[in-house]
Amino acid sequence: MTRLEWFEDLKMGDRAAFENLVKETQNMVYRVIYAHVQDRTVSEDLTQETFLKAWLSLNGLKDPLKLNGWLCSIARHTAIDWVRKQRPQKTLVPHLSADLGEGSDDLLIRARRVLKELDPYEREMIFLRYQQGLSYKEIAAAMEMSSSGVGEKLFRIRAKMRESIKKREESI
Amino acid sequence: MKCDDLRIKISYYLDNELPASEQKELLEHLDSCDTCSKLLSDLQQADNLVTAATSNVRLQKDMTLEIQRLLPNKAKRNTSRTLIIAAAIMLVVLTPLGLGLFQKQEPLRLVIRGNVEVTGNVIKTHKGQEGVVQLADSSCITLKENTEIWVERSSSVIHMLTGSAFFEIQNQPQFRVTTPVAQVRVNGTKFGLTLDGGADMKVAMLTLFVISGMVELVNAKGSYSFLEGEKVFATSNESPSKINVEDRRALELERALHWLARHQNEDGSWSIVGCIKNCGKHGRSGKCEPTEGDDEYDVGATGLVLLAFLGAGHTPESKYEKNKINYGNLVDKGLKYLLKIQDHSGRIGKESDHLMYNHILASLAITEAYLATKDTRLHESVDKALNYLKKAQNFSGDGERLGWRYIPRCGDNDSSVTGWASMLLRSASQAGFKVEVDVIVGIYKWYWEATDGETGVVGYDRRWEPKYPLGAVIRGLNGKDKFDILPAVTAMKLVAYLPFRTETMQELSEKEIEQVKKLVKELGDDDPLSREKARTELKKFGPRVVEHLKPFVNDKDPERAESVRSVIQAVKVSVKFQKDEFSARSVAKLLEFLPAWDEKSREVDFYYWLLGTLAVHGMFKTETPERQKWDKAMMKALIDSARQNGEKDGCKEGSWEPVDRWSCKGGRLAMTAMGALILELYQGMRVLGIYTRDKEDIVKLIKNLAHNDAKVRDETAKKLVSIGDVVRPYLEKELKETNNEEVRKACSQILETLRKNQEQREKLLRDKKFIRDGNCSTGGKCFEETGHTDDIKSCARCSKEGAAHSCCRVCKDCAKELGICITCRKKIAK
Repeated sequence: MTRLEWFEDLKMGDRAAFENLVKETQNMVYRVIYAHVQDRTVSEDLTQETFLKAWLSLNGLKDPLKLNGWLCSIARHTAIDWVRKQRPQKTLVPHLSADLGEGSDDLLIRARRVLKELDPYEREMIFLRYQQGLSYKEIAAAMEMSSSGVGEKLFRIRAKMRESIKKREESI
Repeated sequence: MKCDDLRIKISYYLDNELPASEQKELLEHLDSCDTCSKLLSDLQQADNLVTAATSNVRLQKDMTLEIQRLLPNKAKRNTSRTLIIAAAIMLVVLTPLGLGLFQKQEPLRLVIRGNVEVTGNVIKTHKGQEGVVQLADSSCITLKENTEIWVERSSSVIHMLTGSAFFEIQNQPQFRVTTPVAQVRVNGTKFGLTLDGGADMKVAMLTLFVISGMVELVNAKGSYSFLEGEKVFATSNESPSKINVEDRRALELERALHWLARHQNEDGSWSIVGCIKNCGKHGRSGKCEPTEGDDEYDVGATGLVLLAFLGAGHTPESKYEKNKINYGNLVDKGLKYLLKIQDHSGRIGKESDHLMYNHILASLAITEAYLATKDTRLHESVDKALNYLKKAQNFSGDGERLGWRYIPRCGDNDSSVTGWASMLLRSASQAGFKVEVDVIVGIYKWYWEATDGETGVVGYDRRWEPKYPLGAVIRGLNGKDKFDILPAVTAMKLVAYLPFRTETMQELSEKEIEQVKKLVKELGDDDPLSREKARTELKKFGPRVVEHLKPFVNDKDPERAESVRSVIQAVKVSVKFQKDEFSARSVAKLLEFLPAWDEKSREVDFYYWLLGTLAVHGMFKTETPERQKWDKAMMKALIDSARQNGEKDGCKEGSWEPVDRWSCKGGRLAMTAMGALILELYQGMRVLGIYTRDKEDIVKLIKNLAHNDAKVRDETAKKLVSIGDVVRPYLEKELKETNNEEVRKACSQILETLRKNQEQREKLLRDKKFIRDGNCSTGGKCFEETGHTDDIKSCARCSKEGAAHSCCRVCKDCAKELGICITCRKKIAK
């Protein structure tokens, strides 16, 4: 079966094709959500929710090249909705504090703190680049921006990471 | 090559995204430059760290099976229904028109979703149901309730028998929709079709609404082409007639207002998220999902909705009723709700992170209502609300007033809240409330700070600088690093700069001149604190005071002369902020960001569209090319979005789908209220305290009073009455100058109607409006106990000079006659 045929089946709501999609993209969806909510359990729940929404809106799918973008956008909106609903309780920050995980390595702990301080979209980009290994073009499609925008943004995030790590090193 | 230029290339290189041709150049440079080489190794280290730090962000288990289990059974029905259509039968049975045009093609698969009944090749929806038919080339047909279509084998021919549907057709030169009325030929376009008529369709009527592209309509009379934005009625044997834009705007406005009316809460308020609870209460089917939004802004949204009703001329006295909802009662209830939640400090709405939006919008609604009704209950509320607003204004480091932010006097300013505050102050000044010059100068000063002189672009919370990619420092909701708020705050600035018609800009009154004299005397006081106080007070008079200070510039008391000079200097500086040469550049910038309906990119921005229209109409009072450019784009965007207005008779009808950039805040409710306000602007109504209709428009309207057609004359007279008292001087002028007896008669009649309306308002005021429910607990002695002083010059009831009370505006004698307490405005029990 070619990818295009698979995509046609997916559009028609074929369960096997959808299973394939989940297998292929579940970690990406999880990471996009995690970038916004920073909580493992919640991210897992929202990953499920994202795929359910995707299943129910397969008719919104038109271009196989935009599959990642479509899925990431559902994931992102699901995550943002969740974050927004949490805001009134103001429990978000304490709830998340220990979640990115602590390592034994000092540097690692520092890097994770820096990550926590980034804005959610920047975190999302980091996960897509460093863990999903997506190219600029793919990230651009997933985050609805231009490739050059991705390049510039990643450069800025890198510089920010470098500065923050340096500062922390100096302050210790 | 400069190191600075290469920095970003190092990042590209690390990501394997640098073209081979540039890699060589970079590597050569790295060999010779220690700084860049160090940067590369630092970034590599940072990269390794990030990879390690994010490596644990992954699912701990495979969720495939779990998700498969959770997929709803309903989806089974959603999985494909594939129709292989028997073409021969279709052609014989179903094609009343254009049979010879069809070409046979390969059988195609269709995807059908939603609640539809499929029998052979007939697809049908019942009451309250909706379905989508997707053709193989991704063309989409959305069937509204009670609709029936038959699909041809080629799928490039659809037979529509009844109901309404939206078509989004890809590039298919052969695509046709046949109906009992006419045939519709299209190619790569979007349009809506509605068929009305009896069961036999003998007297059927078709409504075609072209959303984009071009549509050709063929009936027994001939072939006609229609372009985007056009709406047409057609029958089988008459030429199709276009529905004009003005009618369409009026229709959409009516639908939007009715949606808002249907979703009011019992207590008079409106809820952004909770509005859904009111769905179905008025016999409409379906739920208005999704609502989107954040209920933190409910009070502000209530204000915005009330402004939409007030803009359309519905005041608490309005008798207008639609489907058993009385708009006057609805506005009255809404205003009462806002008055009820106002606290002793004047604040409307709870303490929250963004409370100023709530306070300002609610106050603006009350002020506009006061302006329309002169209801004294509202007067007191506006007074308190203005005091709160003034207290919330920020001060700069040198003690001068600046702008506002989400929360009172927090030191930060932003161009959005400040703009809303300016609208409230403008409306209040028109309603006769005192607005000090320094408060307004604060607004000018903030925008002066925030505007980039080169481009005219306004920043959101600081001055915009070209180094920002597109504007202010706020991120778009779609993750684009786009600084999206830019055009909206630039428009907001232009709106804030529209002229204030305030008394404070006029000559000083005699009382004020006395005050100035007293203050000048104090400038020579020995106590430096008193001198400082006098200087501050004098500055508050603004530029008007200069003439009265000039005689003291060379006063023999050097202390006083110096102070006088410093006050004049300060006032002149403040004038600088009011003269803004950047406005032309700002408006040119707006014209680069024209409204366009594209829900996918979240470029839809009703907040910007509303302010942009206000700004462009404020700047260009006549039909200049710039204004035409904006209006064309705005109308197209609104007409495009009108298809979103829900199915006919469904609960969603009249509302806009919450796909707007700010839907996460205001949701469907605020979007619909703003949609209504934009439509009102184009209908020439007063919106958000701003009246953009130019005097030339009024003059043109008055000329229509001499029109040959009696119908046009009647319509014109009605329009002039609906515009209100603003037209009075123009009518009086016309009355003096014209010799046309008809026109003179019409002018007198309109003036008489306006006078009667005014009288009626005043009568309501005199008779009952200022009396509160309940009895005065002190038997009418509140006044004496509080020792409240009178400062209103004439009584609202008997017009006697120098006797009225500040909060209820009637004199003691009238209060006694009416049997009410002058202070608490409750009845005195006899």
